[in-house]
Amino acid sequence: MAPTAQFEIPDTEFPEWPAHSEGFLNLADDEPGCTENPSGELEDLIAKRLPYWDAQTKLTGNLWGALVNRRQSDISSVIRAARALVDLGENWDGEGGRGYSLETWKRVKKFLVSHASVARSPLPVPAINPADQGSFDVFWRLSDRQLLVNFPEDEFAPITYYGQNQQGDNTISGRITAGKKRLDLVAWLTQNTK
Amino acid sequence: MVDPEHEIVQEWIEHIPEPDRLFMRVHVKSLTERQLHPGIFRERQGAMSVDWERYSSAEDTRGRALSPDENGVIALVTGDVRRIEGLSVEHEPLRSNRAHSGIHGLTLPGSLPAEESKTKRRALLLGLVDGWQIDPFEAA
Repeated sequence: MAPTAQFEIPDTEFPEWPAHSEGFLNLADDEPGCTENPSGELEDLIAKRLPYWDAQTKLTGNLWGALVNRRQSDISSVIRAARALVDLGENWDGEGGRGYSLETWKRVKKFLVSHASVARSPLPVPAINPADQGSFDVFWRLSDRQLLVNFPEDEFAPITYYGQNQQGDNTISGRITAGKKRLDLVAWLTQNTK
Repeated sequence: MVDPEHEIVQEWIEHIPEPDRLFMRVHVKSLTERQLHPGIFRERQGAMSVDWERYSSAEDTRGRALSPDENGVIALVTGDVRRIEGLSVEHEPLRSNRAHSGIHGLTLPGSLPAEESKTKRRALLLGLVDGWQIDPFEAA
């Protein structure tokens, strides 16, 4: 069965991803790559959040493109789901929990969209979580490493990150300037350590 | 004026041994994907509030929430928390809760500036959590 995109992304929400699901749909209809994948290999690989280096060696041509498109689609759905945090309001836990602003969510969205569209380096799908003081966390917990990026409510406060591998001997930390792409973080997330 | 039930009782203060566990509540609304994450670690009034297992069970900790049904409970080992740079664990018993303790230092600068240190410490704290003591999605 041909895969189908599960989400339609209005241009107004994700303008940086031009028709990002279209390629996936076309692939399903026109390309033999997917129909020659009856075992669901692509689905398995996506479900396992296969690292970039593994995917690139195991997938070729349009299957690789499908993986990129699917990752973007999954990330867009994560961003969309995180929008609900804005609706929590103040005192959401009954113990004085601070609410989450639409502006902060928009900064998270802008960061993820700009980094997910980096060519040839499909960003793994993160979780977007509520953190303290109205801040959002973007958290990648992969099989061999994790990266945490925190977006504070105050747009002038620093966006900070910390990452480490499973053994704890490969770490990164620092600040991100809003609006600047940090391809080094994408590279760190997707690097081949095997 | 501070409620006497919520004042620290000085004569009850003890040293918390390294192997002892600390129970911490987690509200279900903070679990967007039903998964534990670093965002659960947050200070209130200068510390993260936890309960020392010597005087509290996980069920007791959950029961002290305003809405127990909306909270789960995790555990952290005291010594593991203290080994994270900048964090300390202090027993701060209240008349209403002798187990009450605080994890201090989350937002203090360390080898990194304060903001980076906080992000790092939250990530490291998550690594100390070995699942739920009380899973809010399973608890009745």
